[in-house]
Formats: sequence, C-alpha cells, structure tokens
Amino acid sequence: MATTTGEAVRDRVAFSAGEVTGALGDSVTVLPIVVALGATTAVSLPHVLVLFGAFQVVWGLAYGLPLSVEPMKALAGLAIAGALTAGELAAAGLLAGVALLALGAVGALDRVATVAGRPVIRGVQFAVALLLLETGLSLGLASLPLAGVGVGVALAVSLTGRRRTSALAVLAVGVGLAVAEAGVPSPTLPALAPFESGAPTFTPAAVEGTVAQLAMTVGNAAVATALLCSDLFDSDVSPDDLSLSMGAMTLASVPLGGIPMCHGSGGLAGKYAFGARTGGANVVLGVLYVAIALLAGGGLVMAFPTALLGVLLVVVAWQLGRAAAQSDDLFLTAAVGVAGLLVDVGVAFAGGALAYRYLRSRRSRSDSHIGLHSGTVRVRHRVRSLLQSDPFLPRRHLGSRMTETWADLFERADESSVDVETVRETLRERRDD
Amino acid sequence: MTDPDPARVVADADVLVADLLAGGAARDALDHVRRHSWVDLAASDRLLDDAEAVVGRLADPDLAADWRERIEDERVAVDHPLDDHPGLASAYQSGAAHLLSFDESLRSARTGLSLQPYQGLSVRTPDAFAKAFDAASLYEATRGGEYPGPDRDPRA
Repeated sequence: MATTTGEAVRDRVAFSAGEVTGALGDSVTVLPIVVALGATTAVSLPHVLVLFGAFQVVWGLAYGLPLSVEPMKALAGLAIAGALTAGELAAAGLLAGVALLALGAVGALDRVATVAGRPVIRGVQFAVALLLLETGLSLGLASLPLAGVGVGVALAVSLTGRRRTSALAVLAVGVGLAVAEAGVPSPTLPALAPFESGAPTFTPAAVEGTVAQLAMTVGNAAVATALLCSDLFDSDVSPDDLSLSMGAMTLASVPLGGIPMCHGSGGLAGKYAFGARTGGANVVLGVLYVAIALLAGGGLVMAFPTALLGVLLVVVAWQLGRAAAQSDDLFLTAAVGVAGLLVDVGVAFAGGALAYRYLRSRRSRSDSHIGLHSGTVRVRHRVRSLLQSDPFLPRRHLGSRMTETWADLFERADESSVDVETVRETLRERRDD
Repeated sequence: MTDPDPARVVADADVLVADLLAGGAARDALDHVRRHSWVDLAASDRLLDDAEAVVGRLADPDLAADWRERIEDERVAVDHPLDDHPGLASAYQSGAAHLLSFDESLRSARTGLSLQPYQGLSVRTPDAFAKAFDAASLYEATRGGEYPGPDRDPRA
C-alpha cells in the first residue's frame, strides 16, 4: 500500500476547495458510463453508484491519495453494446477479480502486459470504442433533433478547452430532461440483495471479455496509475498493490450488485488536474455518489432521453478511440479493433496477440532484446506525454522525478546498434573540435 | 597529496556512452557502481556534456537528454578548469582512485608516470575494472565490517 502510513490522517485526507473540485475529475469518466449501463442493461444504477461511493471512500482513506475508482471499460462497453449480458458481466467481474488478486500476489503484472502486446491492448480499446460508437449512433437516430442538441453541447464544451467534461455536460442535459419528464424522484435506499442485477453466467463470452479487460487493466490501470502516483504525489504505490486492491474491490462489489471496477490512470490524472491532492477528494466524491444513488432509482434512468444517451456513448467512444490511437502499431491496433467489431472481441484479441508474437519474432536481433520491461517503458512514455500535453498540470511536475530507470534507458538504447569503436571515434572528433 | 578514495570512480565519456549504447564491458563495470550505494561515480559537467553530445549524435537527442537527467541524479559533481581533460580532471578533482576509459593514451605508462606525483589514480579499461572489482574487500577497506552484498538494483 502507500508509504504514507506514518503521516497524520489530516495530511492524507484534506477537505480544501481543490479536493471538492478534484472529485469531479473522476466523475467525468465514471458517470457517463454507469448511467449508460443503467439505461441499456439490467444493471442497477443505484447499487452501482453506492458501491462506487463506498470504494471511493475506502481507497481514499487507505491510500491517502485521490485514487480513481472507475468501471472496467472493456467489460462495461461490451455490456452496453449488448455483447455481454448482465449475468456475463458479473461472471467476468468475478473472474477478473480473482485473476487480479492472483497476479498482484505473485507480482506478475508486467509479464502479462508484455505477453499481450500493447498494440493489441489498444486494439481491444478500439474495438470497444467502435462497439460503443455503433450503439451510440443507433440510439442517436431515435431523435435526430435531440441528438443534434447533444452534439452541439459536446462540441461547445470541447471548444472551450474542457474536452474531458463534454460527456458530463451531455449527461447533465439528459438528467435535466429526465427530471423534467419524470419529476424529482424521492430518495430511495437500494435494497441489499445478492447479485441484484442477475446471477453470474460463466460463458465463453464472459471469459473472452475477462481476458481482454485484464490486458487493458494491467497496462492502463495498474502500471500507468502506479507511475502517476509516483510522479504526481511522490507516493510509492506498486502496480501489484493496485492489482490487489482492484481484485478485492471487484470481488466485493459484484456480488452486492456492483460492476467490475479498477483504478484508472485517466481518473487519477483528472482528479489531479481538477485540484485533488489527498484522499479527501475520494470522500467528497463517495458522498456525492451515494447521494446520487438515492435519487437514481425509479423512473429517472428510464426517462433519460435515448438520443442523448446515444450522443453520450459516441463521446465516450471518441475518448476511448483517441486513447487507442496512441498505439505503436496502428495497423495491428486497427485490425484488432475492426475484427472485434465485426467478429468478436475475444477472437480479435487472441488473433491479435498471435500476430503480435509473430511480428515480434521477425524483428531484428536488437528488437528481440526488448523484454519484460517493454510494457512499463511504453506506459512511462505515455504518462510523460500525457503530463506534458495536459494544460491543467503545473510544469514543476515534469521535472527531475520523471527520470527513467536504467532498464528503460538501456531498452531504448537497444535500438541503436553502436560499437565501442564508433563511440571512441565520435568522442575523439568532438574533443578535437 | 590526499589519498584517493578507492570507492570513488570516474568513467570517461566513452565509457559512459558505451554503457548506454553498446553494453558489454562498460555496462559490466558500471553495474558494479550502480549495485552499491557506497561506491560513487564522479563526473564534471564538461564530461557529461561530451557524453550527452555523443549519445545525441549516435542515438537520439531525447535519449541523450533523458540519460543526462538520470546520470545527474547519481553523480558526484566536480568542477575543473575548462581546458582540462574532462576524465582526468574529474578524477583529480574528486579524489577518485579509478578512471575508466577506452582511450589507450590515458592508460599509457607515460600518462601514468605524469599522474602519479599528483595522486594514486588507476586508469583502466572497463573490462579490467569489472574483472578486478572486489566488492567485499573494498567494503571492508572503506566501510569496515562484513560486506552485506549489493544494496541497489542496477536497473532501477
């Protein structure tokens, strides 16, 4: 866990204005997806929100950091697109939870990321984005004028430089219209019942979804989030710690009616960008989620305009697709994505992983030296570029603590085949100048 | 003349670059340094300027900049006159007992004789240093007590 155990609780859990605004940074990622899940599947939105709230508080207090709690996006996306039933989503969550606990316990996270291949993982993201896009477009057709309003809101918010909050703005408009139609709901506590959304159904689709999700979680949620914890908060949280907490969280959440959850790097960066610095932001957001959960039952979700839901999914698909575009091998990523849309995400993932292994084996000897660290190196570079491209983040965080490990540097240097004689000659030329 | 510190090492720019780009003996030698927190790597800015420029020319400037950032976190910084040889001057100013270099002219008997009056500096190839490095004896001589083994991950 975090190495902040010796600090006073008040230092780790503050309630400044920054913590309150920072709490919004995570909800930007979470609310559009869970509302879409609640509207399109048998998943109970109030249960999901209560559990998101509970775990926001748990991890905020445990780590003393504004750690994010997000839905596992591949599984949520597959469920929204109809590729997984609520029962299969629950089963996939249980499988993923057990796998994350096991991987965290034996410290094998980097190995899994390397075996899968990042272009393939990006391809899975792209496939989920395409599935959401397809679903979003079909829902948007329900009312083109209303969809047009939603697109206008999303574009207007994006043009003000707040691209991340465009989905939240569409969501706010939809909630406003839903309240206008269904009225302000009376607060209702969700009833406690095991597997509220349906008993887990262990099918091949659930297993395929789990494998695809794990590949994404290992790279994006575990490794990238651990790096961000170090870079933004100088906190020593290991990927294995995160894997253990994600596994425990998902295994506790799913039987209680929740959905598979993870610690995404995007949510953590979002919270930081909005001002969060301690676990206080999690406590604020946890209370907010529970408050929303009390109002989210009844007819409010059903009254959410279908066309705006479609726009919401298109915006989420766009954001996922943009992340996938950061692939090192766009062709392979695109192939996996399109195969995932047209055939099946699990088949696309397996085929992509095989293709990735084959392509790697054909590379030069120097490339074959790229070993278990390659996943970490590329994620570190992505985190660096994420930080450097984020206008919200202060420049001081791009300083010396972003230094790379020797393993990272040696791996990058592997690409240049240089011998000692060339080094000597080049140095001699420089010193003779 | 002060006694040189046997736990302080200077690697000339050719060895620093070879460690990064070529591996082999240079990496083996500097791994000994990286593995032990009590062994210092000393270097002047001039020496690092040379190495960074060579990495930039042979590989890419981004890698060179990232390498510079990392090495600056770890080296013991020393200063010397602008016209001095960066490797020799870094060793002299830091009181290092070892200078690693691929440059035969620095390892010649003549250079050795000219340096000896100033300090007991040993100029070696990385290969020779890597083979001769005896962490246990060095620890006992410089720190006292039983050598506890490597205390750092050389790839961290």
